[in-house]
Amino acid sequence: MSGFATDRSAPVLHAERVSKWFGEVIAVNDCTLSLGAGVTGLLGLNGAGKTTLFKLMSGLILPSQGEVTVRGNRLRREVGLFRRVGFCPESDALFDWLTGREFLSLMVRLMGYDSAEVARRTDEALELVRLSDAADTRIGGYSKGMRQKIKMAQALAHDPEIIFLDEPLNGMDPVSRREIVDLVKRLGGEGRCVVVSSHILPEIETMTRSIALIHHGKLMAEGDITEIRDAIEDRPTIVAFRSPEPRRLSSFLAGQDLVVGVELDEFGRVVARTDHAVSFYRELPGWLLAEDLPVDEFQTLDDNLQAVFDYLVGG
Amino acid sequence: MPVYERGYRHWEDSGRRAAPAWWAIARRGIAEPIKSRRLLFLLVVAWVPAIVKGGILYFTFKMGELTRLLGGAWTDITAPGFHAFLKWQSPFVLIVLAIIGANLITKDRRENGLALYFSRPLGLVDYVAGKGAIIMFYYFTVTLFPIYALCIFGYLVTNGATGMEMLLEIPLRATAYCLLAGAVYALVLLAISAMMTRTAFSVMWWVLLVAGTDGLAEINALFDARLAVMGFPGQFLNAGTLFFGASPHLEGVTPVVSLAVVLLYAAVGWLLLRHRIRPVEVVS
Repeated sequence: MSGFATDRSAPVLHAERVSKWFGEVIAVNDCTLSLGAGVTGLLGLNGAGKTTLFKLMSGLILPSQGEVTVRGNRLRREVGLFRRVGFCPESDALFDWLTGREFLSLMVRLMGYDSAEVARRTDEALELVRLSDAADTRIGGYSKGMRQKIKMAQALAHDPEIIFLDEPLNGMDPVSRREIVDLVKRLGGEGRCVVVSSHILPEIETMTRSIALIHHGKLMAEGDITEIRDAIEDRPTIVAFRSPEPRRLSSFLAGQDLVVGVELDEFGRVVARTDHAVSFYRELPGWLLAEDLPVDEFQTLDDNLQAVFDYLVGG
Repeated sequence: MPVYERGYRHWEDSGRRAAPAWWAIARRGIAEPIKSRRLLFLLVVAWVPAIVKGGILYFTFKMGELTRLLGGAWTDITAPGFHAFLKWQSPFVLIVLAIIGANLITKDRRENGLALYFSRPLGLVDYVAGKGAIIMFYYFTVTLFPIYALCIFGYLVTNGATGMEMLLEIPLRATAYCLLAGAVYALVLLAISAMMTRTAFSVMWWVLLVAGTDGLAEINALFDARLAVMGFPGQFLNAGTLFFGASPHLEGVTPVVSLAVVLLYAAVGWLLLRHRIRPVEVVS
């Protein structure tokens, strides 16, 4: 028997005051993080502790302090829990001497399936990443994008609930990139807990609005990008409006408590600054309708991931 | 309070495994080297002593006096005679295990295999057991399996008590010894493999351990017979005399001491494996 109970009220993945040090170097310092269904981007500069936190959460290394749990069970202590986990490593070094099919079969068989199930899941996974045609070619002969795909396939073949993807788009051509982004979004949409680590922010932004940001070993922010952006109090969110009546719109916005400043920029746009973006966006449709203010378009200039990242880590 | 209940529900753990994880590793590892014709040729050559001994057994029973003229262990069909057979197989053990085992963990460390293995439901014991089973299989291929074949062949060409001895007693003695020796060889070789990231270095250390210490022990034993305890393969053969009821292989070292040394090798091998095998990526 599996020997562990599933607590469905517990977070899918939870790190409680996790620290990891190597000798005198503290890689991850007292991080607490809870992840549920959906895609979460794990971000950080090189050396920030992102990879260490990723490995801690995926159970590949044990924390020096604290614990990581899956549905309330400690991952390394209950190795059976790894049947719920799919892990796609960053390095593209693989078992080059095996064919794609042999490699996947081995990886699926390690999950404990019988031969018929191994064959079925192997074929399905190959199809999922569109590698069926190259299934019987040795991995050593694969392109970088194909290697990335076969790594994805081994992480998904056993239908895991929690999926860790470390730099999943590395070396992929634009078409494959699009396919993998769609696949990741679909996996998150199915209610799986998908954790994607990347240092390329636009990549993450195409997959999710939910992030966890680590800097100098500390978890700096966690949640929706807009909410995080909203919480950065010393940097008001900037929203630009295109309107046929910019002066009337400016004067109306300037009178609102949620708005801390309004100006007209060189493109003729009304640029408003708010300390409470979430509330601002909630109120905005009502204001525009009540005052009959015409707006052709509006755009938040700095609640994208790059801006949030730059504000938080001082980039 | 977040609602985690919305999570993915498709996943269900039956807790049942079709086969243990170590077996999945072992079957892939056993199947892979057989694709090499060179290794197949080497394995055939490793069976030559068994074929020769089988022929001599045949003639011993069919043409008695003629073959007895050959003398020595070749005509010895008692348990000690099979211990001598294992001694002849030592060079093949050295070479075959170097080819099969030296890169088993080295390759995984170099190719990022450890992270792939340990992100699955298996522990260190499963991993080592799987890799060890590969080494043991090929060790048996050049030692135990030929003995089984000889015993069956001997049973077919002889009769009476000798036949029963060859069918029951000798296979049991050989199995017990080969299980112990194979397991310890596997632990030591895997430990060497786990300490290297280049296969060539693993092979070098393995050859130094087996052939180097043996040569050194023989030279030292000229001055003090007890120094024969330094030889790595000698301890296995000396301990093996306990299993086969043969006279001691080494002059200055009792078989019991050799058995203790062999068990010590196993303990050191296991400790090194525990220390070296970490499920982290090696990024070159």
